[in-house]
Amino acid sequence: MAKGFYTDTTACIGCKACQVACHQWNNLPAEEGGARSLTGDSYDNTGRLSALNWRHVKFIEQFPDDRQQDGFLKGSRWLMMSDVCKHCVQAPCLEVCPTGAIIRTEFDSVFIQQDVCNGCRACVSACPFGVVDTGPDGKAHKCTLCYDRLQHGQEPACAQACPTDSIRFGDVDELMTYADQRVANLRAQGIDAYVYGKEDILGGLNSFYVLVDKPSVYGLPENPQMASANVGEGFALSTIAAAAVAVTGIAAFRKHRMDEMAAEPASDQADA
Amino acid sequence: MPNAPHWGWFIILYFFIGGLAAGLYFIGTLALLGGDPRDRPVTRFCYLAAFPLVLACVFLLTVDLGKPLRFWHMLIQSERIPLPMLKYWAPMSLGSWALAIFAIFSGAAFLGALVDSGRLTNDRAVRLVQWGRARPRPLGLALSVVGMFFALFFGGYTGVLLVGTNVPLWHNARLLGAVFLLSAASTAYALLILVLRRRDDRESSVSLRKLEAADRWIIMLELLTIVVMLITLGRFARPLITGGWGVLFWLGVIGIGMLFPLLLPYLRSGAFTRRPALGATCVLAGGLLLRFVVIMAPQWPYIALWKL
Amino acid sequence: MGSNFAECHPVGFRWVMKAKDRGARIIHVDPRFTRTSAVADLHVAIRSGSDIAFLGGLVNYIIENEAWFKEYVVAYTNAATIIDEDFKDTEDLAGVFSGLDSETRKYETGSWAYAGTRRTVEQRALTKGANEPQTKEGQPGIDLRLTPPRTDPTMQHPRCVFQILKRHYSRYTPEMVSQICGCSREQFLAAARALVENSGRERTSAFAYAVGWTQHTVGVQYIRTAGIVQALLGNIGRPGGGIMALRGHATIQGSTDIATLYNLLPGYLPAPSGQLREHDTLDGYLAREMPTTGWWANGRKYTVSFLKAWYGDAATADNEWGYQLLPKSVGDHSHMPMFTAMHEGVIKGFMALGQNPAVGGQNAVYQRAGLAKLDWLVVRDIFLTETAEFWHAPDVRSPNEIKTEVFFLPAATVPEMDGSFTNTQRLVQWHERGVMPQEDCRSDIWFTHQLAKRLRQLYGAPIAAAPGGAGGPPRRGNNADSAAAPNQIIAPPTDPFLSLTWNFEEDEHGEARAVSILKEINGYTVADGVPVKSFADLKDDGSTISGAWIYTGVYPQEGVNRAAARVGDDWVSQGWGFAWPANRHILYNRASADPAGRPWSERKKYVWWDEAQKKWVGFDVPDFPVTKPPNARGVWSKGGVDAHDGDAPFIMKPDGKAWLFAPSGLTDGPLPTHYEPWEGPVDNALYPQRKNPVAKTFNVVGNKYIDPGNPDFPIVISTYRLTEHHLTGVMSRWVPWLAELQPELFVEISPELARERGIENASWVTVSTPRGAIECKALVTRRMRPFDIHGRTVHQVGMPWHWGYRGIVTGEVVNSLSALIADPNVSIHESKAFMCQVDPGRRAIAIRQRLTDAPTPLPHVGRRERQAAEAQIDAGIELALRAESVEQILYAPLDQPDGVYHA
Ligand SMILES: Nc1nc2c(c(=O)[nH]1)N[C@H]1C(S)=C(S)[C@@H](COP(=O)(O)OP(=O)(O)OC[C@H]3O[C@@H](n4cnc5c(=O)[nH]c(N)nc54)[C@H](O)[C@@H]3O)O[C@H]1N2
Ligand SMILES: Nc1nc2c(c(=O)[nH]1)N[C@H]1C(S)=C(S)[C@@H](COP(=O)(O)OP(=O)(O)OC[C@H]3O[C@@H](n4cnc5c(=O)[nH]c(N)nc54)[C@H](O)[C@@H]3O)O[C@H]1N2
Ligand code: SF4
Ligand code: SF4
Ligand code: SF4
Ligand code: SF4
Ligand code: SF4
Ligand SMILES: [Mo]
Repeated sequence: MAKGFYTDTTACIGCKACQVACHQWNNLPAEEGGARSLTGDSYDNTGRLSALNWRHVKFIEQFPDDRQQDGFLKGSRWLMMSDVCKHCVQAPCLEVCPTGAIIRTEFDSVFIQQDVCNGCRACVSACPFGVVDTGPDGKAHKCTLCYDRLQHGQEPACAQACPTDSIRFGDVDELMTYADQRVANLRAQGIDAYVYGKEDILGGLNSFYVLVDKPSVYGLPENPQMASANVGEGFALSTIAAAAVAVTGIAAFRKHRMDEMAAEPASDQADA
Repeated sequence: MPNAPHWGWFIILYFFIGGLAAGLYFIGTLALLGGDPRDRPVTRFCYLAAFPLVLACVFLLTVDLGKPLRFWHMLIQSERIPLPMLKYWAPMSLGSWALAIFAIFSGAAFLGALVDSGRLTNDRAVRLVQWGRARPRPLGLALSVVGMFFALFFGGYTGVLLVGTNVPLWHNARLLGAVFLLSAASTAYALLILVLRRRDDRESSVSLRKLEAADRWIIMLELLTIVVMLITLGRFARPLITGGWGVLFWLGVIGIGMLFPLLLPYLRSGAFTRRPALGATCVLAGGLLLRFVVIMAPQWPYIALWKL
Repeated sequence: MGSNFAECHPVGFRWVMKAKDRGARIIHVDPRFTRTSAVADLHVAIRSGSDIAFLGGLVNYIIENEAWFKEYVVAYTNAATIIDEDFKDTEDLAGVFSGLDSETRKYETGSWAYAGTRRTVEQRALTKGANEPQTKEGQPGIDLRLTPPRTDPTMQHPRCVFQILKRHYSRYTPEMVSQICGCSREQFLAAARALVENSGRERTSAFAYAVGWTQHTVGVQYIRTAGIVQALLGNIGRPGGGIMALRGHATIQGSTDIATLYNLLPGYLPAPSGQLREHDTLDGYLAREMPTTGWWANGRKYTVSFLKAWYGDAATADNEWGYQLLPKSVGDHSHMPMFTAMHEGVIKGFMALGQNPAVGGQNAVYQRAGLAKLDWLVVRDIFLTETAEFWHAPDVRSPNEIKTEVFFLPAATVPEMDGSFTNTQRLVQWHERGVMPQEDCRSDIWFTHQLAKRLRQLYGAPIAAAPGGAGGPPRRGNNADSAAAPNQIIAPPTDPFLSLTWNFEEDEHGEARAVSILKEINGYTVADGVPVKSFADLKDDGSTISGAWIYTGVYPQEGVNRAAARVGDDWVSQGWGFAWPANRHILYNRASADPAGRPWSERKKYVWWDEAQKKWVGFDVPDFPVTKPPNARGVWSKGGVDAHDGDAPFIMKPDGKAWLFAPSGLTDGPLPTHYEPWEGPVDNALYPQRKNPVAKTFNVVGNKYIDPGNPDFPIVISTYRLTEHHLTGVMSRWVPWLAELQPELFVEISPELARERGIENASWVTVSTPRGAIECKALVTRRMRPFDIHGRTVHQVGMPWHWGYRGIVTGEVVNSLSALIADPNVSIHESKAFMCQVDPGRRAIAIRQRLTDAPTPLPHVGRRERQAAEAQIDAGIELALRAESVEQILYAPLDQPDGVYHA
């Protein structure tokens, strides 16, 4: 049974409890021991997902240029989104991992086996969402969907910590029906919300989102692809190139012979 | 947008040296099959050079890993030893195998070359080589063709490996494999040219002309492919062709690495004619630079230039 | 309004989001666009310090548009009551009420009384001139002993509350609101409409506030205004209505209930004052403080039971139940006066138990300088706070000249102790110890218990049998030493200290059992120690004891702790914790039914009269005499609640009515009036009187205030919290996971102001006030905006105040900017609205030198001396920390002078 997250960004209050809960449960140290510096990027001071940040809350300030009270208040938005591994149904990271370190668990989540990973970083370059990253230990890390907790029938730490249930954990298709209802409600209120992570995206994201603006606004790819999407063509074209190399090579050697034969006497004279 | 995989100098050098090794082996074999006896020295040099370079590749690749001692996880399923670990759809997985197999071929050729050149006289080795050579010609031919295939694959997969990521520039550069392959050839030719220029006996000067001719064609092809690639890339090419990286790319890779060597013969200025090796050197430099910019540009600024 | 609900009460906000899911509209009125505004349906930005104008505007809107809930207002509020003929409104006296004594800057509140109920001249004579401490709402000032209040049911009488109210707010028009608050007229009207449309029989609306409202020189009146709005709309005592005080600090509600405030005894019994001659005797005290009508008529029972709880057998009928043993206040002992007293050398020792005034106290430089004048300072905390290490403050230039001897005692954390939290909605929730405290850390209960025992010994009480465990007889026989300590007087039985009972059960660790404390708070019978079930069972004959009557019922029988109950449901959740009083979740809930006792509407049904059972029933515990029928007629002479009719829900009030007009209990006016903050950007657009005439001011060196129009400080500044940090930051800046989320102090600035001042986002800026100057980063954001205040552009900036000079991430102390200034009712500071200047770059030192009267920092010595001194101090800390036991630290000064660090 596929387990995953339904994250309703319209219910997020940017409290970062999820981020902290994840750090705590997974015992991840804070970068620079916590003594970072102010980014000036709204209330986001941890920047991005990384080997030490498996959850990251994004803040997007949207305020109209019209600074008149009414203008200011109309259409003013402060979007917040708690980003995490999407546990893609077709996961690019898993696809490319040359050691088989990345596997799909019985919960249909995508999991990195730390005892197998050799730190080649193929997955890092493959994840279209910028989730995986390698840590100080040289190995790749990312959200485990709290595999350890799930195995003991507990819900993930982040979901449990979320005060507003912006993050909900459960069976993906059940969650999807909630999400659809939620979207319907929001649309009824005139907000053009939609689900990001249905089948059209990498066969579906087991951690999907309800968004109210373009994916790019949240720093999400509009239509992410499998890493290997173009590999076939790549090899095909290389083969042509290979042929070209071969041909030119052979030609070079052969042709030269011809020329020589033709020019044999001349060259003899030259010798004399 | 993926995080930066932090592929730095190890990988850049690996791509470059790997290209050279592949190119050399390929040309060597080509010369062996297609050339005339006067090309033997070329072949011998190629075989002598290729294998050590391959070893260098293995080294670079291993030290680049976050966990070098687990390099073998690439080939063997670490949990189900000794089942092989192969993902035919994943260039890195394929590449690891290609490297392994190519290592065998180039190794064999290396041994042969050692014996022929009389550098190795240990009769066990000699007998081994003779045994190895004692086979019907067609099979030998087939084998060397297979060897050439792996050489070419090895020379080109590095580009496809980048295509097999989700980094927009790489992912969409479907021709990158082709470009790297051509560059592998051109740099290999260039290296040979440099070497042969050293000793200017009659034979080599003959081969030299062949090589230079081939190199020019390859460079032209490469240039063409790059142009097509950039066109097909469209906006994805931006990190590569704009800003500081753009300068390096246009001036270094295209200008110095390709156009200059092509135009060199027509430049009548003594400054150039006095340095005949100049062209080849530029091609080599350009080949290295090409890999440097292509790999670094999209990872910038998350990766430090000096990062290995 | 006045709260950043989502950021400061995220877990409570869960329910707001649930309500929103069910279609509730959320309106956020806040100077800034915050994370609460982000999920609100409507955000109205108003200038800090202008809420009474906004709320008064609502009152005016409601009255003008006949939008008030007629039946409710007529029956349940004092709208019809007639006020004393001497009463003069702010409309008549240019912004002040009748009775202002401009010398003492105090009101003589007699003329605010209900007509005919004014206290007699003699009565008043008793308190004349006294620095009258704040007393429980309702008292004194009116005395309904003789007659019920006169009313005019038609509400036409010119001196009836409704008419006064109407007149008082007549000029609070939408235009005026927009002029004063800086929000647009449309925004105000949108909010007003939404509120009105969502109130009445079928629907109710609630206000939620916190310190955005309280931290003003008119803080109490802010909330009063909301009370008036809600009473007019019939939103009190009904489900989904009310005014929710989002209680902040851990169990802050509990600490007011069980009275950490100087002017209160547990259960909101006023603390006796040495300055009120009426307080000389118990009877005088009760006569003055407890009205004869309404619930407080039971005051005597609660007071006597309380005295029995404290003084046990020493409290007898003949000694006024030990009333004379109670310490009496001799003036204002609230937080800020304590620090001026330190400066004056009146207070020589200070215990900071779970408090960090070096950062959280207003005019922090002044307060730290106060600490430096102490003989000794005890800090019990879970971290080495800025207070514990106040000599590290940047402004302290020579630690070695500070003579204060500082004792740091490591405290246990909440998971390491049993105890309870009482927070928002008066909900008492129990928590159990999960793990034992580390090393020398001990819970506050342990500390207080052990301290009491040792003090008793020092006072000459027989040495108690040594308990086992960590609390056992300290090594090196300190107990003996201390017992045989100097000036050993065997105290007489009436000794105020030794007379205190101290009979809590002790566990194996020498810690008093929290439950046994809870039992005393709940109360039990003196005879057989059986817990009392309800405060109705408390007696005034000394047969019952109760530490705090309002909590009675939390421990109804031996072994039953209702605070630990955890049976929730999605409605009233009677089975979850215990909501005092009597597990009543909504106060005055009789008002959820109409005068005849029927629910106002099926939809809003909550508590109603069941004719069949002849009693009040419902989803909550009825807040009314259960069997008193709606049509009952009160007999005034009987007193108590019997004086009230069956349709008088507000039983705590002498007249059983909700007070639109407060005839007493407030020191700054019976009706909320818009006053500008003490330091405001503009004059008062409504009255010549600019600011609260009776605000508590502190005319001490280093606490300069400025007037509007001062070109040096033209910008409004407000201080507030972030979700990521907790208060002075001790509980978050020391935790890497939290520290990294908001690593640096910043000031939120609008792009407009940034442009004016040439300030870049994330660059350094200097913020200054007449009290000080500090450096921080700028966070330039459109969430902040300038306000258009009657035609003038007024800029406002905001600063979270969580940083200090210790911890993983540090920053300057924002309270170096704020002033000592207080609301006259409850002495809360005005940290939500004052004036400042913002300059680009790091210029604090330069600007500080320019400040005329800045708080005097300590004398200067060179860096080397300073370091030497700090080294010595740190060695001291080392020693203290290395000590084998708490006792070693406790007693170190006795036998090892250098054992505890002092500079
Ligand atoms: N994460 C976190 N939660 C906390 C705390 C914490 O430190 N961190 N502290 C706890 C404590 S002790 C308390 S008291 C509560 C306080 O809870 P809140 O009162 O919600 O906290 P503040 O942030 O001080 O102030 C709330 C809002 O008041 C606004 N404001 C400023 N001036 C005015 C004004 O004149 N009118 C109006 N309407 N609004 C104004 C500010 O912009 C701010 O957004 O929070 C408690 N919860
Ligand atoms: N400018 C400005 N100033 C303000 C405010 C503002 O909004 N603006 N807000 C005011 C408000 S509302 C408040 S409540 C105050 C808060 O001011 P403080 O109460 O002084 O600040 P806290 O950081 O809460 O200090 C509590 C201390 O208790 C310690 N502690 C935690 N648990 C325990 C325990 O079990 N035992 C003991 N002994 N200690 C423990 C913590 O480590 C912490 O050091 O600040 C006030 N100051
Ligand atoms: S989000 Fe990235 S890391 Fe997560 S499963 Fe998909 S590809 Fe892998
Ligand atoms: S880094 Fe580890 S997990 Fe990622 S692809 Fe390489 S081996 Fe697999
Ligand atoms: S599921 Fe677990 S690992 Fe993943 S983000 Fe949530 S807490 Fe972290
Ligand atoms: S815990 Fe929930 S509400 Fe808080 S930031 Fe994370 S997702 Fe948003
Ligand atoms: S800090 Fe504690 S009290 Fe405040 S919201 Fe979080 S859980 Fe609730
Ligand atoms: Mo507070």
